[in-house]
Amino acid sequence: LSLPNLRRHKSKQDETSSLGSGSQTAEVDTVQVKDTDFELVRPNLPFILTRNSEDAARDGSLEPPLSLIQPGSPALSTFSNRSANGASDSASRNSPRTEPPLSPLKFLQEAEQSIDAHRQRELRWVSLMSSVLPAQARKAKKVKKLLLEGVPASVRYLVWSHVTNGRERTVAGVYAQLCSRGRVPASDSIEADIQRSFKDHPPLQGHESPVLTVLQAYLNMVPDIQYNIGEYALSNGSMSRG
Amino acid sequence: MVACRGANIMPIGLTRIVGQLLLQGPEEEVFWIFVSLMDTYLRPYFSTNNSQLEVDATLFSRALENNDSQLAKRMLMDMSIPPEIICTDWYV
Repeated sequence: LSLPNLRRHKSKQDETSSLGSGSQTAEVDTVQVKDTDFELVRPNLPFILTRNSEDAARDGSLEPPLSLIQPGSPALSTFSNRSANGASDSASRNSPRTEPPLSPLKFLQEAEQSIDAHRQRELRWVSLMSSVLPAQARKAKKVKKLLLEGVPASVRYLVWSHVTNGRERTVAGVYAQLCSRGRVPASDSIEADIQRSFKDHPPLQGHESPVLTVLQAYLNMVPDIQYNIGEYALSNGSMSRG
Repeated sequence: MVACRGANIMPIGLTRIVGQLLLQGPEEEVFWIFVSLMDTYLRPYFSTNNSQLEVDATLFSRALENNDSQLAKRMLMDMSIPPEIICTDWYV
């Protein structure tokens, strides 16, 4: 799930500095579309690079198969982070067929540093979630800064819930009720997409897929959403010129 | 030909988003997180007018012009590939 670095920006609200206090003055560009100025914020390249390796380490689902991990690749930090998570499978995954390219001592040192950093990040998130209200979390600079440093898997779902303020929206019973309404016109497309998207995640597949349940519930609640936006755009003609 | 390419872009964005969330937490909470994400960020992309996508496509072509004007000229002018074709896959 990657959000575009192009950030929507209304000229009325001057929030040029909202990207974060520490950011080097990024070159700013504006584009005008339909009476609204949109600000183009350039990503800070070295920063993005660090983040990618961080991502690979944090997100098991994006992790390449072990056999593909080459010595020196950023994915190596996966090992250290796994043990930091206390994942029971870390030992078995660190099997002899993938020797770490570093000397054992250096490898251990790096692992230790990474465990420390990981724990610190966890702690910082926990304390931040208790000090920043969900309603303000999305705009808070502290939160943005921490988000860019990466969210440890152990607290990631809590962070999602906190930052989106999902709890406040929750109305007891509504989800079950929406689920009971069953299939929607887009259900077939959703099933096809699920089959294509989650080959590596059997729990998400099949007719009972929770992905299908959640999307159907949503479309039952908000029927005017175009699930197949690409198809819509095509039939609308805006994509088929040329 | 462009239309063909367009037809191959299958919008699996919402499925992917929900799937990623479900890998993190329980279903009902994922639903409300998703509701919040849709309301806050995503609904303009899935509404019947594609205005948000147009905005992003315009920003993308501007960014391309700034960073690689040669490629931008070749793609946007000479081959007249609409930037939406490329962006749909990223944003949706």
